[in-house]
Amino acid sequence: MGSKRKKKGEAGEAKRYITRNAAVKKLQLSLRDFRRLCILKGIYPREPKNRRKAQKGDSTIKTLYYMKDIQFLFHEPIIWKFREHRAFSLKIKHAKAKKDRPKVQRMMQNKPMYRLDHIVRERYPTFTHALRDLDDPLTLCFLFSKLPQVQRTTLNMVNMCRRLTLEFMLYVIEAQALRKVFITIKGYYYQVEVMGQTITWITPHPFTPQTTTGVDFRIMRVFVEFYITLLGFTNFRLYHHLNLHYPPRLPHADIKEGSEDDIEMGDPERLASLNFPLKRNHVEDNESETIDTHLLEEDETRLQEAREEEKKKKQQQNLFKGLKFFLNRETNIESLTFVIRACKGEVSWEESTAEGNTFPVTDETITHEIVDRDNPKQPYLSRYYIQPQWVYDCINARLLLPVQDYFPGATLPPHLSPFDLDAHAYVPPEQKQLLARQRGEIPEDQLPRHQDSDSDSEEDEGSKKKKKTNDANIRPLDSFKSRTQKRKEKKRKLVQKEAAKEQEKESKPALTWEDVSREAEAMETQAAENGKDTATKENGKEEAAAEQNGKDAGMEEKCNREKEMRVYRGRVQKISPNAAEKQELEEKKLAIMMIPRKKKRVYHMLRRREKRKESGARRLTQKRIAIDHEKEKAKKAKKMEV
Amino acid sequence: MQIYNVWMPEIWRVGVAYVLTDKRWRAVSRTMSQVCGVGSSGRCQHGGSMVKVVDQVTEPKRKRFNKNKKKAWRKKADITEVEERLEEQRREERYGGPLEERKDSEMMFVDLGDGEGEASQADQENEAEFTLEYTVDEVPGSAGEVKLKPRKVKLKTPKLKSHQFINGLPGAKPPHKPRKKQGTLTVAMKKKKELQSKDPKQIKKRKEAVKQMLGDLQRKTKRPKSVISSKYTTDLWEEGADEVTQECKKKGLEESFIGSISDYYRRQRRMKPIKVPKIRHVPTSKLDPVSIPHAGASYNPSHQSHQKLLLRAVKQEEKRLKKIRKIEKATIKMFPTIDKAPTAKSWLTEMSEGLPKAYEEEEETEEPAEDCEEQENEETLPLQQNGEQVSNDSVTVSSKPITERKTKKVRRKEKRQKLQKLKKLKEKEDRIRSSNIYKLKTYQKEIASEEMEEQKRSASRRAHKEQLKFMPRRLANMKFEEEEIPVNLGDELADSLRTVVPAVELLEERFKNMQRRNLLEPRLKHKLKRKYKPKVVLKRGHREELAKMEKMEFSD
Repeated sequence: MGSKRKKKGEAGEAKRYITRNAAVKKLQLSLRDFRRLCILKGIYPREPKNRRKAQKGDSTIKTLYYMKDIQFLFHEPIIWKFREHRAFSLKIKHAKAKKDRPKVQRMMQNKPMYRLDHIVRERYPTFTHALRDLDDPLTLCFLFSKLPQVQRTTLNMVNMCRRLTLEFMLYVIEAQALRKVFITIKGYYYQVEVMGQTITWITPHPFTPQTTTGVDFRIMRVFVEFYITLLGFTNFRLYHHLNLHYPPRLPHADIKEGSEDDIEMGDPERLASLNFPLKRNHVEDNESETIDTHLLEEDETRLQEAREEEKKKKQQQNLFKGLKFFLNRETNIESLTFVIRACKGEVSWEESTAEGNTFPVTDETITHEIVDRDNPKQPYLSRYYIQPQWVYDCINARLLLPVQDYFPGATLPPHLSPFDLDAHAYVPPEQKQLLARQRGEIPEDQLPRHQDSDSDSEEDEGSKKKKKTNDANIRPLDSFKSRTQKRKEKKRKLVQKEAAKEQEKESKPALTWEDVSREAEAMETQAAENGKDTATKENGKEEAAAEQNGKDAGMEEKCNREKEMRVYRGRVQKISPNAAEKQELEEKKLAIMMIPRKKKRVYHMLRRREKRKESGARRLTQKRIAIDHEKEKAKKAKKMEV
Repeated sequence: MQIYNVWMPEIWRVGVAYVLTDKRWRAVSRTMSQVCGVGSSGRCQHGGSMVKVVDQVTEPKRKRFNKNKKKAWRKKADITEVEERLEEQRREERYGGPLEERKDSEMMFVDLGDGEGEASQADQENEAEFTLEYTVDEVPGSAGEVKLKPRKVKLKTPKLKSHQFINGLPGAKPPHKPRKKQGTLTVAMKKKKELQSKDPKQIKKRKEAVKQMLGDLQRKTKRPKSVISSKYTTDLWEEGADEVTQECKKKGLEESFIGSISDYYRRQRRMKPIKVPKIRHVPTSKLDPVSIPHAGASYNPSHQSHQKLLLRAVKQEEKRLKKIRKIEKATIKMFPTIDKAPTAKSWLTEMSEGLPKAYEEEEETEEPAEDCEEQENEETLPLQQNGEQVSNDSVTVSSKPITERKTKKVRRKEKRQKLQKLKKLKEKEDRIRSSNIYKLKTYQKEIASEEMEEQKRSASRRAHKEQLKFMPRRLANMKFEEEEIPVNLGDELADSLRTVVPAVELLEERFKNMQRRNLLEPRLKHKLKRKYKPKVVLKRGHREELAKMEKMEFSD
C-alpha cells in the first residue's frame, strides 16, 4: 500500500493562517471584542506569502492572522472578563428597562472590571523593552490629553492622559534627560534619553482647533487604554529609580496634612505648572561614570569619543544653570518651562497667565525675558529680551548661542533639525559657524560674523548714529559665567555681614582665578586631545582662549598668574607643511595605483560621485557669495542715497 | 341598656349590594343587631330597610364539553365553586379567621357610650372637612366689591376608605410576629452587657470590627471603576515579584534555592507557562513609531532643506496627478463630450459610408454633384466585379498532390542517402565535442557568470524582502493610501512661533502611521446605518412663524 494521498489545505500555508471571521468564531467573541483583544495583546493581521494558498483557494483579499497567534489568545484570561461584561451589559439593560433602580445601582457597584497589568508584563518582559516602545504611548497620550472633553472620548481618559504625561515630563525635568527639541509644522518633537534609551515623542502646537475626521476613535481608545496602563507602571518605576515619591509630591506638601486624597494628589495645579522640584527621599550626589568603559577598553579613540560625548551631555544638562527666565504670556509656557527646567534654568511668568509662577517681572535678577512680539516694551536693562527659538536652538547646539540674532523683531536664523545628522557637501555659512562654535573654536560671546561685518561697514561709512542705536540693542557683553559669579558674591555678602569690605575685595579675585584656572585646564585638555592638529590651528585656539580669559578676568588674573605656580606648555615639533602635503599626495597616488583591478571600477564610481557632490557644493557656495555680494551692494547703494 | 354591635361580613357573601354613607351604615348595623339578637354568630338572612338581598338564584345550565383531551379538562372544567370557596377562605382570613374559630370577645364589645353623641361628633368632623377652597375677601377701601381669595391653609381631604386596608383591617392577624425590641433585655443579659462594655478586650474587638466594616465600605466605594483610573502602586518589573518567590523570601530561604522551589511549586500546581509563538515579539514593521521629521519641516526652515522637502511634495503630487490622468484617459476621455457626441443622423451617415446612397437619391435629388459621384461608383463597381472573377480563375480547385508509387530502387537509394546523412551528422557532432575540450575556459567563464547572476538575483530578492518590512502590507480589501507630505509653501511659513499654524491634524497622522506600521488594517469608517429615513417635519410654531414672515414680505 502506498502512502495516503495528501489533501489540499491540511498543511503548510493553509494551516498557518486564519481569517478574521474564523478567528472571531473560534474565540466566541463579538468582532468588537476581538479587535479590542488583539490590540491589547499586540496581535496584528499579517499578509501571507501566497494569498491563494493561505485562503484555501480563495483569492479575494481577506484579513488574515497567524493561527498560532489566535491559539495563543485562547489562554488570555481577559476573554472571560469580556464575556462577563457582555452578560453584565445584558442584565443591566434588562434592569434599566424594568426601571429597577436599586438593582441597577447594585450592579453598577459590582461592575466587572479587567486589569491590564499582566498583559503589560507579558508584552514587555523587561523594563528596557517598555522604555524602547514608549514613543507611541507618549505621543498618543499627549494628543489625547489635549483633546476637547466634549468629544466621544471619556473625560476620565483625557484627564488620566494629562496626568501621566505631566508626570513623565516632571521625571524628565528631574532626571535632566532632555536631549533634542525640534519645532516643526506638525508639532513639537522632543527627544529624551532615559536609562540609555532614546525616546521621541510629538506634542501638538498649543491652542490649535482639532477637526479630526478620519480617525476611528473606538480603536484609538483601546490603544490609549493600554498605553495608559503602560505609562502608569513605567512612571512608577522611573520615579522610584530617582528616589522620588510616585504620585509626585511637592516637598512642602506634607506640611498641611489633610485627608489621604489630598496627599495623594499633592497640589495638582502647582504640579501641572512643572515649575517646582519634587519631593525626594534622599539625593545621591556621587554619580558614577555612566559610560560602559568595560566594552570600550580596547578602542582608545572610541573611549575618548564617548567621554567627550558624556562631557557634552553634562554641559547640556546644566545649560541654563543660574539663568532666570521670564515668559511673556504669548509664549508656549508649558513647552518652554519643560525645556528650560530640564536644563536647570529657573522660570516664571505673570501671575495672571497661569498658576505656579515663582518670581515677578520686577525681579532684577532675571537674565532673559522671552518675548514673541515684534516691538515689546523693554523697560529693564538688566535682561535680554529674546524670541523663544533661542531656547530651543541653544539646547540643540548644547551651548548658549549669541543672543543678538534672536532679539525681538530680528529675522531669525533658521531653526535647524537636530535629527539631521548626515553630512552634506554644502554647508551654509551659518551652520559652519555653529559647528565651529560647538567645537569651541569661536568663544561663546563673540558676535556672529556677518553682523560684525555689518558693523564694520557702518564704521567705514561713518554713520555713528546708527551704530549707537545698534549698541543699545547689544548690551555690554560680560559672559554669563561672570554674571553668575557676581550673583553668588552678592549672596555671600548678605550672609557674611561681619566680614570687612577689604577682605571681600581680596576674596573676589581669588574666586575668579579659581574658575578661570578651571577653564584654562579644560582648554588645555582639549588641546591635548587635538594634539595632532597643525600648529596654526593651535595658535588660533590659544588666541581664542586668551580672548575669553581676558574678557572674564582681565588684569587681575595676570598679576595672579605671576604669583601662582604654573605648568608651561611644551613646544610642538614643527614640520614644514609643504613637505608633509607633498608626501601625503604621493602616498595617495600610490594607494590609488595599488587598488586591484576588480575594485577600481567601484573606486572610480565613488570618486565620480564625490566630485559631483563637490562641484554641487562649489556651485552653491558661489551662489551664496554672489547673493551676499549683491546684498551688500544694495546696502551700500541705500546708504549712498541717504 | 346594652346594645351589641355586630360586625357582619356575611352580608357580603350573600351578595348584598348597598350604597351607604358612614352615618347610615352605623344605623343599619344597629338595627340589624337588634334583629339578629345577642351573640348570634349565624347568618343574617334579613336585610335592613335599605338593603336589597338576593337570596335565590337559579343555577345556570352546565355546559358540556369533550373530556377526552387534557387541554379541555384544564380549560373548560368548572372550577368556580372551588375558587369561590377559596376566595371565601381568604376573605375570612383577612378579617381575622373564620368566625367559628374566633372568640366572642374578639368579635363583640360592650358599647357603653351614647351612640348618638358619637355620630354627631363624626358629623362635626365631616362638616369641618367640607370647607370651601376659597374664602370671601373684602377689601376695606372698595365697599361692596367682593373678591375670592385662595385659602392659605390646605384643604383637608377626607381619607380614602380603601387606604385603611393597607394597614390591615382591624382584628386581622399580622403575617408575622414582630421581633422583640433589642432594648428589652432580661436583667441577667443587661448585666452581662454592661460587663462586656467595660472589658478592654471586648472594646478593642468591637473597635476593630467597626474599622474593618468601614474599610470594606470605603474600599468598595473607592474601587476604580475602569482600567483607566486604576492606581499604580507596584513595580511591575521587579524581580521575584510573584507570590511564590515572595513567600520563599519571607520564610528566609536561601536565594539560590528559590528559583528551583518556585519551579517545583508551579509544576505541582500545573501553572505551566503558556507557549508563546516565536513571532510574538517580532514587530510588524521596521518603521519607527515616531519617524524623524524632515529638516525642511521645521517651522523656520533653512532655504535648502525647505526646497528639498518642497521637491519631494511636488514629486508626490505629480505622481498622484499622473494616476488621475491615466484613469481619466481610460474613462472620461474615451467618450466624446455632448456637443461632439454622435446623433442619430450622424450615426446613419457614418454607417452608410461607402454604400450606394439610395436613400439620398430619394431625398435629395437636387444635388447634381452627388449624381456624378454615383455614376462614378457605378462605373467602378463592374470593374471590381471583373477583378474578382479573374482571381477566381487563377485559383486551382484541388490541392491534393498527385503521388506515384515509388520503385524499390528509389526507396533503397533514399535509405542509403538518409543513413549517410545521419553518419555525417554524427561525425560532425563528435568532432565538435572533441574540440570542446579546448573551449573549457569559456565554459568555465559562462558558469561563473551564471553563478554571479544568480547571486545578484538572490541578493536583490533579499533586499526586496528587507524593503518590504518597511512598507505597508496588504492587510484588507482596502489599500493603504499615503497621506500628503505636509509642507508649508514659502509664503505660508510663519514669521514667529506664535503664529505657526500646524499643517496636519496630528491625531489623523498618528492613525495613518499605525496603518503604515501594519498595526491596523485600512478600512472604511464605520457608518451608522439607518433603517428608515428620518422624517422631517416643521414644528407648528415654526410653521406659523414662517407663514407670518411670508405675509410680512408680501405686505412690504
